Amino acid sequence: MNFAEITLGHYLALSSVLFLIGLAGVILRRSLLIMMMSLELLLNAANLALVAVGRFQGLPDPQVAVFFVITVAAAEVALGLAILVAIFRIKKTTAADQLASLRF
Amino acid sequence: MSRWICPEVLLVLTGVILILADALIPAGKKGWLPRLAILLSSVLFGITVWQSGQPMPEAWANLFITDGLSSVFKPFFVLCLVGVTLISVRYPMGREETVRAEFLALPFFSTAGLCLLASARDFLAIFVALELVAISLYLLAAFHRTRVASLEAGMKLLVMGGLSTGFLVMGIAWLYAATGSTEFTRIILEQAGRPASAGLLLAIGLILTGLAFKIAAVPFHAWAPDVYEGAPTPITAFLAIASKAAGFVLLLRIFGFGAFALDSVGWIFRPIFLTMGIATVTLGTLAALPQRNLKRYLAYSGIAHAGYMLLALGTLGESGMGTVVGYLWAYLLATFPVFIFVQELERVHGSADVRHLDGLGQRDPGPALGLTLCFLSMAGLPPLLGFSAKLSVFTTLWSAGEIPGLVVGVIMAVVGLGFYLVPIRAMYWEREPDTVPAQRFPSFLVWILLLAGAAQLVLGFQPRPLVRLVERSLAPTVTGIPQEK
Repeated sequence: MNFAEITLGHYLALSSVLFLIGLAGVILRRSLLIMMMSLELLLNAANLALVAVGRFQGLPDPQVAVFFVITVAAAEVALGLAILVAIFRIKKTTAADQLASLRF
Repeated sequence: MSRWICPEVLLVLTGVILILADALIPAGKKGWLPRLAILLSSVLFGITVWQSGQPMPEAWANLFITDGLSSVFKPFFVLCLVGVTLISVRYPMGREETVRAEFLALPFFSTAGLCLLASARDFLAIFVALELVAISLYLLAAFHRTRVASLEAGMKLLVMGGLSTGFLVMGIAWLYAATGSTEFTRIILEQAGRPASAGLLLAIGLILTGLAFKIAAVPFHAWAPDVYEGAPTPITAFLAIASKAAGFVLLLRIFGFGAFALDSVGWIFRPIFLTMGIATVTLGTLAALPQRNLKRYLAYSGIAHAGYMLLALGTLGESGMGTVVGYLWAYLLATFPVFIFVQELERVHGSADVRHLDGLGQRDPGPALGLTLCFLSMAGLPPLLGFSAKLSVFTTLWSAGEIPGLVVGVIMAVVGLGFYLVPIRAMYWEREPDTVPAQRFPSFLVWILLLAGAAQLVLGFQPRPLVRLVERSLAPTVTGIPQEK
C-alpha cells in the first residue's frame, strides 16, 4: 500500500475529524467565544470536504460553493461577535453557563 | 417581464425602501414608518396571492422553480410577515419614539429568504436561502439589546443555527462526493433504480439533522423554549411559525416531492422520521404541562405540533405530504392570533405569565372567547379546524399501518387536551385578581381574536378552502425540469 499518495478518502477523513472536533467544542466548551470558534471549525471542515471533492471529481461547482460558505460564515461571526459584545457590556462575562436567565 | 416582479425581489426592495425611508423621514414624523411597513407588507401579500395563481414558466438554471408547493407556501410566509409587521410596530422596545426601521425591515429580508427557499430546487440554493432567513433572525432575536434575555436568545439561536448550518453544509459536501451534484433533478436521475450508497445516506442524514434543528424536533429541540421566551414576541411568532414551516417545506421538498422519495432511501428514513415524531410528540406534550409562561408554553406546543407533522411526513406517501401542508396552515391560523394576544398581554402586564389570564373571561369576554377557540383548535377538539388537521394525521398513519405512531399520537392528543385547558381554566374558573391594570386591550385585538376564533369554527365545519390548497400543493405542475440529463 502506498501511503505517500493522498486520496479523496484522506481528505474526507480529515474533514470528518475536524467536524467532530468542532462539534465537541460547541457542546463541551463553556466560553461563548470558543463555541463560536468551534462553529467556524465545523464550517471549515465542510469547506475542506467541498474543495477536495471538487478537486478529485474535476467539478467547479463545489469550489464555488465554498465561497458561499465562507461568506455566510463571515456574516454569522460578525453578528455573533456583536451580540457577544452586547452581552459582555451587561453581564461582564462571556461564559455560556452564566447565561441562565432563561432556565425553566 | 412579470416574472421579475416575483415576491422575493419585491420583498428585498421593500426592506431597502423601509431603511431608506427611515433616513429620509424627519425626526418628528417617524410614526409614519410603521404605517408604511404595514401597508407595504399587505400590498405584498396581495401580489403574492395574485402571483401564486400565475404560471411561471421559466426556471432560472433549475435553481429556482415554481410549482404547487411553492405557490402554496409563498402566501403562507408573506402572511406571516404581515402578522409580524402588524405586531412589531407595537412591540415595547423602550423609550424610543417608535420601533427602529431595522426591526421592521429585517423580517422582509427574512421572508425573502423563506420565499426563495420554497422555490429552491438545489441544495446550494437552499443553503443560501436558509442562511438569509437565519441570519436575519439571529439579529432580530437579539434586537432588544438592553434586555439580557433577548441577547441570550439571540446568542442561543446563533449557536444552534450555526450548528445546524454546519450539519447542512457537511451534508451538501457529502452529497457532492456521493452524487457529483446538488441539483434535485440530477440526483433523481442519477440515483433512479440504484441502491443508495453509504455516502448518500450519510449526506441525507446530515442534512436531516440540520433541518431537525430548524423544526425543533427531539433531540434537537432544547433551544426552542429558551429562545422563544427571550426573543421579542413578534420574532418569537415568526420563529415558531414561519421558520418551523420552512423546515417542513424543505423536508417535503427533499423527502416528499423531490429527490429522496425513492425506495432506495425511504426504507431507512421512514423509521427515523416515525421514531423522531413519536419522541417529539411525547416530549412536547409532557414538557408543556408544567409551563406557566405562555411563550414557553407555546414553544412546547409547537414542538408537539412538529411531532404530529413528522409522524405524517414519516409515512412518506402523498397523503402524508398533503396532511403536513394542511396542518401547517391550520397551525398558522390557530397560533398566530395567540402570539398577537401574548404581545398585548406583555404590554399590559409586563410578562406573559399565564396567571395574568385569571378572570379574563369576565373582564374581557371577547378576547377570551377568541383565545379559547384558538386553544381548543390547537388541542384538536371537534368541530374546530385543529381537529380536522389531527384527524388527517391519524387517518394517514392508520392507512399506512403505522400503529405505534398512531397510538402514541392519540394518547398524546388526549394528554395535550389537559395542557391546552390550563389557560382556558385560568380565564373562566380562576377568580379575578384584586389589582387589575387600568390599561385595556386595544379594540383591534378583540376583532382579530374573534375573527380567528370564527375562522377555526368555519374552517372546522367547512375545510374546503384548505383542502383545495392541499390539492394545489400536490399538483405535479413542476416546471422547468429538463427531460434529458
